[in-house]
Amino acid sequence: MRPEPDFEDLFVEEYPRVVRTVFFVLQDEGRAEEVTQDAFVQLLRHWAKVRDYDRPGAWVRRVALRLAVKTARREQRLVALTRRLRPQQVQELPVFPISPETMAALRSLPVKERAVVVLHYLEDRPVAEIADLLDCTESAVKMRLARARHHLADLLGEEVSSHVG
Amino acid sequence: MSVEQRLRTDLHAVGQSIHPDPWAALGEVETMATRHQHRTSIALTLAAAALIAAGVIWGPGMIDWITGQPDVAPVDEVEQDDSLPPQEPTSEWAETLGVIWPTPGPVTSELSDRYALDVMRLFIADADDFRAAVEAAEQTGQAFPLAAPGFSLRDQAGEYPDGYLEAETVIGLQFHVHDTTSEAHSWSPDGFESTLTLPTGELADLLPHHASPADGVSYEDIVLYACDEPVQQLRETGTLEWRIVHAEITPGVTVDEVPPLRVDYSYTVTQGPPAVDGPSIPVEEWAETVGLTQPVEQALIHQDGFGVAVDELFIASGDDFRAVVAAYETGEDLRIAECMGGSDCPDPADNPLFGPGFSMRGPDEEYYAGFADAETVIGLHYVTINGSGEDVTLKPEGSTSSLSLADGHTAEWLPHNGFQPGRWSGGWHDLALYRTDAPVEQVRAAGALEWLTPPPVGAAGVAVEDWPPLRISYEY
Repeated sequence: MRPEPDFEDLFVEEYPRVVRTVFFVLQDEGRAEEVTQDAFVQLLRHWAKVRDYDRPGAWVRRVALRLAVKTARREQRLVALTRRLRPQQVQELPVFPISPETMAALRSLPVKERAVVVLHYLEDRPVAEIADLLDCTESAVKMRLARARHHLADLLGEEVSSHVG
Repeated sequence: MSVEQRLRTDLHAVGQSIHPDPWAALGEVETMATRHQHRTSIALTLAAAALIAAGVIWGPGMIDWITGQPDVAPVDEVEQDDSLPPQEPTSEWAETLGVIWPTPGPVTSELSDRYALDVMRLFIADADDFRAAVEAAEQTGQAFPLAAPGFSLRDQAGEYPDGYLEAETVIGLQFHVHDTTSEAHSWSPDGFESTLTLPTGELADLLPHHASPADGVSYEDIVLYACDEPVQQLRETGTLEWRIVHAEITPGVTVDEVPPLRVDYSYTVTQGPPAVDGPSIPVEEWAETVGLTQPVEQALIHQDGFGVAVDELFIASGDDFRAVVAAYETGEDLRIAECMGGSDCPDPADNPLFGPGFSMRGPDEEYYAGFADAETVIGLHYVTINGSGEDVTLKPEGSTSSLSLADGHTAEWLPHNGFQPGRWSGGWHDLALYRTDAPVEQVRAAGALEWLTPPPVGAAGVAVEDWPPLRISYEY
């Protein structure tokens, strides 16, 4: 299946961005690329239709994020079950060379909170857009953001700004 | 610094350190989309054939359209790279050659105290199809699927081995050899002297091939045999007996007279209903249609570092399950194509029942035996965990598993595709299916099942005792 030039343009522009976003949800660069590629396969299959949307990039980002959240949840469940099986086994967690404390703190968040934080603080997306991408209500996004901010502030020893809720 | 400032600074710093290569990824995406398109083409061809058989549609070019599939599908478009593991075949390639798993799953043998071998997959192919596949790979320079990198049947003079050009049928066994101490070696993929006894009692002739040496703790390759028996005679249910007489698996390490491996297989399938003529059940209603629910109590067994948990189950009438499968086969694309964008746009991750590559059809695209006439179908979504710290060979739940109903009856295993056996160091999810003649209301009312499934590993050096039955309680 040979992609059309406009698909290639979109791919080259959006792929690295989507990988970065998905990376923060999964905390694994290789898995992030796999999930992102799965999402773009869906986009390529449905390109004839999706190309006419206002923002085809948002379509693939939505698919990638949902796949990432689903993948991360499954992996969390596996880790929990494995821990039950082998409580003495120490799980090796990735250590990131840049901002390791922040990455570790991010990993401690529930998966959807992690996604909300990344979309808000990395991509500067407004609450309404995050709600659309994650298929939830705006109040759910606000609640997750507030909870994540307080949790992260505790872990990182920082303050929560007074003007945010 | 506020936590908001810190998050913005740190996330951007980490994000800027990630530089994925979009052009390399574009090739991957293109290949994956092509594979999916091939599968879709086959489903469409089958659906059209069913409609024509029923006299529904006809027109000029229809026969060409239906029969116009090439005899052998092109292998994946990647360049040969000897550092890569064997390449997975496209679905059409696998169907043409008849690639299947042993029954009920990979077969393991200890080559010595230290080395173990698993037969992962096999094929029994019409030799013309096989030769066409070999020629296609030679002409394009592409890797031969399932074989070790550098695979070639030609000797140094460029000649094929004796018996290759005259063979009626070619049999291939894909195997995986590893050192149970996990020490790396330089493996010798073409160092096997072996015989293969057919179900008829006849011996097949070894077709020696060459491949590139590979470094690592394990390697995979195929071993090939030629015989004069017609392919259809062998493509039933039977047992192949593989006897390794001598093998130099890595320089200086030889094994001799390995006890024969018995590889059971089955190509037996029955004709199922034709694909439905349109999407009948929206994906959002699949879970409700089959009665997807969760166990009342956590269903989990674990032993020796391995475990299995059932996180969801369904008990459906055979008709409802077949309708959902039919909708899956024909409706998925339409479901997404009809989407006009916005927040109501469904996505592939929303499929509540089936994992990637799921299919109830065997290698010849017919439904597996037991699917078409099942009164009631029981599905278990399970997760298997490897907490042993070992890298082992995994098996699907397979035909040796069984499901006991509360009234004392036993439900039979119902095969499906989608699960790929292979090396395993973590865990995986799958769907186990069973059929029974008991009415769905009776099974739902019983409130409990007992699942007897073998441990999911078969690797030498990893001892796993049989698991006790897993009790699964539910409410409808």
